[in-house]
Amino acid sequence: MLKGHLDMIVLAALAAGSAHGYAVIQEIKRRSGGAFDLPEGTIYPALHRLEQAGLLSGRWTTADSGRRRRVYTLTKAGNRALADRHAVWKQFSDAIAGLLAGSRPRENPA
Amino acid sequence: MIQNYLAQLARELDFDRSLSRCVLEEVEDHLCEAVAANSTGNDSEAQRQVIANFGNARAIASEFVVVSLARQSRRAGVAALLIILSVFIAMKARIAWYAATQWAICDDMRAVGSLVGLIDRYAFLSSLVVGLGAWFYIRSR
Repeated sequence: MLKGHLDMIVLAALAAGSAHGYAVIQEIKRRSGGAFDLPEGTIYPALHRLEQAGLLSGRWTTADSGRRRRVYTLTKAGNRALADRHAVWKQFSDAIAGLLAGSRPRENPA
Repeated sequence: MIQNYLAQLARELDFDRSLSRCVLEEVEDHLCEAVAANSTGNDSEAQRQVIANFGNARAIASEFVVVSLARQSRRAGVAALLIILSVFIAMKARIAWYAATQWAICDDMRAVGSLVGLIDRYAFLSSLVVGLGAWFYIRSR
């Protein structure tokens, strides 16, 4: 399930500002309270895919360590995509919440 | 340990050299930063943990196959457009050359010449339509 929503999770993590892969992972862990503990390497194919789709833009910078670092930023299209996915997710979440609210587990299921 | 992991990832990403170079630099930065942030105190244990958290190199590389295919498709689309443009320029240049040298064909060949010209013109338009269709298809993927 998590993998199906990885793109939305990455876009949401980058909504706060530009970040490199490691920082994106840390942001996801921090904001999800550690609930999304996915293999860290899976973030990179997602970042490249989103960049290719024009939802992120990437640029090389130099870190304090002297290593080259690729920093990703949400594009306007990325912002729109995040807003769209957020709306769809909220609709889905409200529908499920409504469904669960109207149902009580039976005490003696058949 | 990190260098061994990077070498393994490089082997798995061998299907796309330019993508591989870019990914390896990013991954190396990630692993080094994660090791520096690790509180184990033991460098080799920190490296082992960081690599375990990063995931299997083959599994990660397999997810890049789709990215690589999309990159190659886009490049192929751009190349096709450039070829169409080159053909168009060559055709126009040829017509201009004929006009400049006042090249004329004999009466017997005039009908054949007009047919060839017609094929020439619509072949270009057809290839242009196919090329644009392919380009829009690639863009929409």
